[in-house]
Amino acid sequence: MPFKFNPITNKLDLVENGAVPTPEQDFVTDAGTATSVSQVINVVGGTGISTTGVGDTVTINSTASAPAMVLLHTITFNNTASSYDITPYVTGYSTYKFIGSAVETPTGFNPDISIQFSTDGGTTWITSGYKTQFFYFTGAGSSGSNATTNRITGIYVNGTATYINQGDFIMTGYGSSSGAIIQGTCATSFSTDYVPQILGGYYFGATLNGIRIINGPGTNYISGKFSIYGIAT
Amino acid sequence: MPLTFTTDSGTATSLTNSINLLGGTGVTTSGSGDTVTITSTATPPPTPSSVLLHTITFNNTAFIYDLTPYVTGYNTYKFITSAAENISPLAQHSISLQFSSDGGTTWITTGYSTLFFYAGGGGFNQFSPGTSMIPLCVLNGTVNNLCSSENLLTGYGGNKGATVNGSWIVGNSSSGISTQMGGGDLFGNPLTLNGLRLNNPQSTNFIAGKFSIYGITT
Repeated sequence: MPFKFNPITNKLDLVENGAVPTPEQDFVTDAGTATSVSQVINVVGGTGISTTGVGDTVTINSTASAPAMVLLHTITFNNTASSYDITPYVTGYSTYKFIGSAVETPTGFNPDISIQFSTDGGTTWITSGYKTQFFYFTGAGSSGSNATTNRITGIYVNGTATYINQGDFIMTGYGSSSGAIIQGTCATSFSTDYVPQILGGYYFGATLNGIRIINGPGTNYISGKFSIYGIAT
Repeated sequence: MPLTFTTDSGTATSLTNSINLLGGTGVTTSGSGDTVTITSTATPPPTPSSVLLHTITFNNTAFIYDLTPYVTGYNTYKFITSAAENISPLAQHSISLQFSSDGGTTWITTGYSTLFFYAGGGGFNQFSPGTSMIPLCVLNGTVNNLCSSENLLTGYGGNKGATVNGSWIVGNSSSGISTQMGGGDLFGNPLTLNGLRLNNPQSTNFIAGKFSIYGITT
């Protein structure tokens, strides 16, 4: 039996042996309330979350993995420009993907969707020294060409009709001291033919920190989209 | 009596009525009044740029698959054929696409421009498999073939037709490996396509493998 000292009588008083209350605690969450049982509460990780407990500390960690491909920016062409500085969007990765989707190029002589680099953040643009190559085939035959040295051609349209184009390209090396290389496939479509191509190019031996899309003949892109993705490596 | 917190890995026990609730990787915590808020630090929450919309698992039951219900919500799509197998009693089997302009009630069987370039078997050349459908992966020879391909579809749902372009590789026991690149288009001005199906022009079932459809955010 427990006793308690009584300062008035200077004696020990008998204290009745009652049940010791167990104060359970409520944990209010976004959806529902959890109540501890026997002084224990479970803190369990759900989707994308794990938990650990040591000493008097519970740590909550995210287990979500970073996406392998992230959309950085999309240009929607609307017949207002023939070049677009994409330097602000091409950052944070060592590898990038470019996708041109249903790009309508202007009628006129041989429009293209090409890339130029800069070594001064886009103040000036490099207009010589590119090494490029493309291989195309049509119903009339196939051929290869080192098309240009003043830009890297991503989609090359050979004609003056209304073309709808697509392209899928990888760029590596941009931001390093070795230059950059672009490689991919594309297709141009018009009323009487479909022309698939493999093409790309590089600019060697410089730290490139500016990049733009440019149409060689200088006419505006009519419609369609050009998207820039960062690739985790 | 201290309160015990049982976690995924280990337990923590409060001391003097206090427990530390800390954010780890990708998580922060804050407390105010009687409320603890747990927040993800991913800013902004990453939007997937490529989303799997549907996968067909071939099992020798069909040679036509209507993809229309799955090819929606995007303006750019990617198709990946993974180790697709065909039995080829006839040459020039292919995994091909056909479009519809009435939601799949009827299918367009003429007017496609198609072309692919191949290298393998000691040579290279270009070839058009006809105007009735667009090839995604062309299987060669009269023995079983395995094929893997990656193709991009753009323009579908717009008003000027659609283009499919990509590359693939096929292999079989008789002629070895062939690497190929190409596709086709159905061009029109205006032409709005709103139905899409897989088809094997030789009308024999796809035996095995997978065909996946991805929406690409642009």
